[in-house]
Amino acid sequence: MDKTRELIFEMSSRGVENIFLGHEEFNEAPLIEEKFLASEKADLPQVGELDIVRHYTNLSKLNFSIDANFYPLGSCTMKYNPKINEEIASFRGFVSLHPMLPETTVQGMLELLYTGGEYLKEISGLPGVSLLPAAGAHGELAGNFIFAKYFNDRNEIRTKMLIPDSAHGTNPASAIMAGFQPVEIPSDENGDIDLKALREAMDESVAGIMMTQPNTLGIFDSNFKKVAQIVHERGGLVYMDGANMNAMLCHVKPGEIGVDIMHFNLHKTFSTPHGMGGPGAGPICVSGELTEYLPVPVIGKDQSGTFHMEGNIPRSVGRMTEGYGNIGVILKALVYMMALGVEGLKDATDIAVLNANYVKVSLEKHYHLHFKGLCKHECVFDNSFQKDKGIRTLDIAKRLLDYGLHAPTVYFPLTVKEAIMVEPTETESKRSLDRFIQVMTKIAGECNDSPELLKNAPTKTPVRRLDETQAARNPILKWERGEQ
Amino acid sequence: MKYTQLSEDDIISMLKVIGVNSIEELFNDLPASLTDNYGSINNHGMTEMELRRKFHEYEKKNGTGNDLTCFLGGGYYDHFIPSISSALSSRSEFYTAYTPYQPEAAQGSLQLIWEFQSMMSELTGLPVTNASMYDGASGFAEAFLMAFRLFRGKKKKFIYSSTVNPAYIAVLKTYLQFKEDIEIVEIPEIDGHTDIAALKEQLDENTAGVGLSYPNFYGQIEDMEEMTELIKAQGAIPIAAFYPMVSSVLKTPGELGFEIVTGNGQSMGNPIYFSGPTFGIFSVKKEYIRQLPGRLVSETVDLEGKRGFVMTLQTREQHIKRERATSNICSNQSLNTLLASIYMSFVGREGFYKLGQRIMQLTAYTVKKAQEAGIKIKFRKKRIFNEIVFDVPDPAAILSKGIDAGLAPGIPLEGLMRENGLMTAITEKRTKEEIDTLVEFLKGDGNG
Repeated sequence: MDKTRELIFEMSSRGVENIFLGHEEFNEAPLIEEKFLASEKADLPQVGELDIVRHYTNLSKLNFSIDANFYPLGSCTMKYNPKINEEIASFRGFVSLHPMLPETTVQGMLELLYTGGEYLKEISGLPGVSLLPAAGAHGELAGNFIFAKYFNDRNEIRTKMLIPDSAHGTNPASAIMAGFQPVEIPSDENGDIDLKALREAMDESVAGIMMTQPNTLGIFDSNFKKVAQIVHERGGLVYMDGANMNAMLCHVKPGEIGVDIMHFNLHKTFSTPHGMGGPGAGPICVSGELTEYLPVPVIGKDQSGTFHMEGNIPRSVGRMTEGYGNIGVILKALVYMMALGVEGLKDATDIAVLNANYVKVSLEKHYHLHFKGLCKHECVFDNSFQKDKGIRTLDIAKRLLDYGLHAPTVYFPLTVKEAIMVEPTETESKRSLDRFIQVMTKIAGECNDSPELLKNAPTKTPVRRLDETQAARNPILKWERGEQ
Repeated sequence: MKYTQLSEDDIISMLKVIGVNSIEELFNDLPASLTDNYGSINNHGMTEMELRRKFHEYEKKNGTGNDLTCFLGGGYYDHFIPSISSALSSRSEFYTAYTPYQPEAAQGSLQLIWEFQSMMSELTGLPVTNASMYDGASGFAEAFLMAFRLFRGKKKKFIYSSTVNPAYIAVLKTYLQFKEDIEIVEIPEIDGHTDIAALKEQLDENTAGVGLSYPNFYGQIEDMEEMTELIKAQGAIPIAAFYPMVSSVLKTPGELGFEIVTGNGQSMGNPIYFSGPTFGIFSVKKEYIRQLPGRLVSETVDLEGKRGFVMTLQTREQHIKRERATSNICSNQSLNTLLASIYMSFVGREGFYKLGQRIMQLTAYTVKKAQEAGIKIKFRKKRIFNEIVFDVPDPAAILSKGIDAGLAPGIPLEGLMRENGLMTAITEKRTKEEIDTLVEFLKGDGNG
């Protein structure tokens, strides 16, 4: 193995130490009995401050990021993360607050959270909110617990959850954690849910449906209200996965079209950073009837304008988090919502959809488009035009990296074979969209003229294609001292 | 404000390419909204200047909450954070990247996660650590779900001790409430420690997992080895809720016999932040890897033989296995594990040990001073790492009085735990002077 790139452990030498404890004399013997003490010190690396700084700085340079690269990762909404969000969320008075402080000393924080909740209620058109879920999938789980508790309380035995085949994998995975059996509903030729199949599946054994709107094909289901009606008629509830809310902000409120529960992904829709995989935040909004089932604690405001945390709510599904959720993420999202206002949020959606349609129309000559017609915030291509040259979607993705562009989401949604899912987001300029279009067009040409360029790609990244098979067969999950 | 950057001309030319006349036409498929009313959301947005002013006002409304000497713990601790933490973690190459789905374009993130896995495994004493859970409590609940899967759902009894963090217990109950035919049993405590005889009585062949806290919520170090041996002898899985700072000087939970270790990673370089974001630690022994929730990174090589890193064993995860995945977790708390990695690198082997020593000395100093002042201390004195429960009348009133005096002296346990008291946390940030002030305060107001 070529180990030019060092591990922090390989930079370590015995005796190197960063001093951070002040000099203080103690005559105290530790209280703890000898038998509990470790026989060896934890073997953390021993590296001086400058070398640590260099190590992490150099690692950061190996990453593609929104701030350096176009990052059209479908379904992930890799929009610009405004710097003012970061600045405000790091105010000392927010960062240093302890969750066990009495409510009288955290009124500003509680008011902020309360306000964030009010905003999400307005945007969703639903009257109940919980900011607690730590991620979209966590919101889904909270939503599914609410489904389960609601039907339990009504003595209705409903064991199934309907989920369209184009759904995110988190949907069925969340449903089953709350005890529901997911039932897959196929899509029709337009990418909408197959109404006939839905009618057949929907009966009194079904708790409801989890729908992503617009769906993962970037299409707003033209029958959505009909779907909600069919589910409601048989006593079921409608859950909306709000991962794609970026395509409908301040255009229509989910609560108006039949949604009973939804989650937001603050790290997608409201511009908080994705942080290499997290933290995100997945607040949920619910209908009036479901408000009493929200997880605890719930933030309340009394008549005198004082804010408090209410933990004792008899029908609540219970607690979902150790504390009050991903506060820092919620603050950033609130700064963003305040910065944009209603007009700015609507503009964000307008331009997100404009950008996606522009890319779609510009590329459909070169890449097979799965569904024609208008898209919302993203569009899905596949490799049909390229596959007779032996080119797979993966090859196209890897080739993009050589041009300094991050690849779109690939092989998702699962309903499209060899999918290439492009979400440019609203914060990209026409110039950067044109560059992406130009590069994608060039790559389409390379597929004909020099397919080996794709097969060998990437060549300009810090590493070439990696051996994932070996990693899965014989995973090396941590550093071992002997490895050096 | 807005962050879009198209000119009028751009928009016109793009609409022409698309073949529509207006942006509105792009939304013809959306049902019409019934309202333009967005309540308290302002219409025109705010500028940076206005936002700064507004949020400084919110900050001020916390009043004294921002400036107290913090003796609060209970899962979140006021530990030292080196200045390189924010300097490095605020590099946007880290925070504006996403999940490393394209490994060639994310070697920085992947190596980081792998180094995090390695360092955290040192502290937990178990060889497999995932890329993080949301927090300690959700990780603790997922550990029980994992134990359930490891026995293919055949063992249906879940046991935890009443000395575990009550938030962890509450989340566990939430997560398990719709599992059919299962039994959840709480083991009571004697003098702040798990009642081992009661545990013995409850353990049987039907037990999937047992959750214990190290140290426990009262800050006490229990006889863990005795209990993990009992648990394993019955074929069940010992699960730890763990405060990683203890591994600076005490045995790791892995060494004590735990097979799944969970915990809140906040104390490793993360700000308290009113409870989040932090991250959940999740480590297991090797044999359990196929049932592990969350992401894992492995070292490998590229086709030229160069060292590289990839996400691995993804067939456990929801984006591949859907309802058969080991968990629904997708987004995790990676940026917080970066803070932990920077922190663990910075304190290093020697510094981490000295840190633990310092915490123990300051704690011993506090206990000595308190005893000299005649303040009673609950539970066993030789089992305290850094949290002390003072036996004082009306702890809630003491907390409010303390705040008026500029310090948060501790957490009132009433309503949280079976035993009441004022629980005070000591970290390396506290000075002898601050501790003296605390003791003086408790002597005066605490007993008066």
